[in-house]
Amino acid sequence: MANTKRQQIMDAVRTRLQSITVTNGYDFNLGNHVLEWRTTMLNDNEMPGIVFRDIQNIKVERGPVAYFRWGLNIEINIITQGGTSITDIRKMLGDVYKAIGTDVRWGGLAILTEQPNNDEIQSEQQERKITGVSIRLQIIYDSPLWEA
Amino acid sequence: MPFTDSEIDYFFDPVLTVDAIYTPQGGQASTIKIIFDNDFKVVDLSTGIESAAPAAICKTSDVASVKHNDTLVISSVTYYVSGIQQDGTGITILILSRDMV
Repeated sequence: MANTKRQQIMDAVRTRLQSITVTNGYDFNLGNHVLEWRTTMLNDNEMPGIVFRDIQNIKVERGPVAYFRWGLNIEINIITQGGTSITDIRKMLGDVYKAIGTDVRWGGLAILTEQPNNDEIQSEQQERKITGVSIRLQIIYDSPLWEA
Repeated sequence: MPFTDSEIDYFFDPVLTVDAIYTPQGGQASTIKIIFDNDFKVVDLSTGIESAAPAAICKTSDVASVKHNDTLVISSVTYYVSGIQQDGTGITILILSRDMV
């Protein structure tokens, strides 16, 4: 059985996030550590990195006949450790937005990607200074009736 | 109620303590006895991150003028002081981080 549209979109998101490298014209190599639905703790060797999750799929009105229209909510967290300056954190955030903006239809899989309602920066200092940036996207797509 | 000097010395038993090189910013380094605590700590920023919560229990008299970002070198690792907890008994707990505040 072929992958669902939702799975194909998540694969596309992973590939896009993995493309965030200096070689590709971004400021940081966040793409070197992209983790989907990581449920265990990150360690030193995995930062800076990105953890992303498809946390919720919601019904969107006004879809075409014989299709479900979905709004797939994806949470993207950038995690850094050490002396990363807040200026660099904002650049990392910029890298992620830039990557998403390269194709908001995800190769034709989606109708569009909504602008995030907000992003959020949090920082905590223990043995290391650890900063997290959280972004929530909504990707609008259509799937045949009763398919995800 | 503050401890007496002899009570504090008893608390800083050589078996429990390690040497640390304490350097105030712009000041002279000195070697002091500390009790080093480095418990595992989870930082939770949407995703859990493995970390630790290093702290040095010191005689207040050894670190009387301590400030944030003064350094302690413990087992060849340089830590910056990120928190200062004086308990009024003659003991000061320094919260440490490998990154400057």
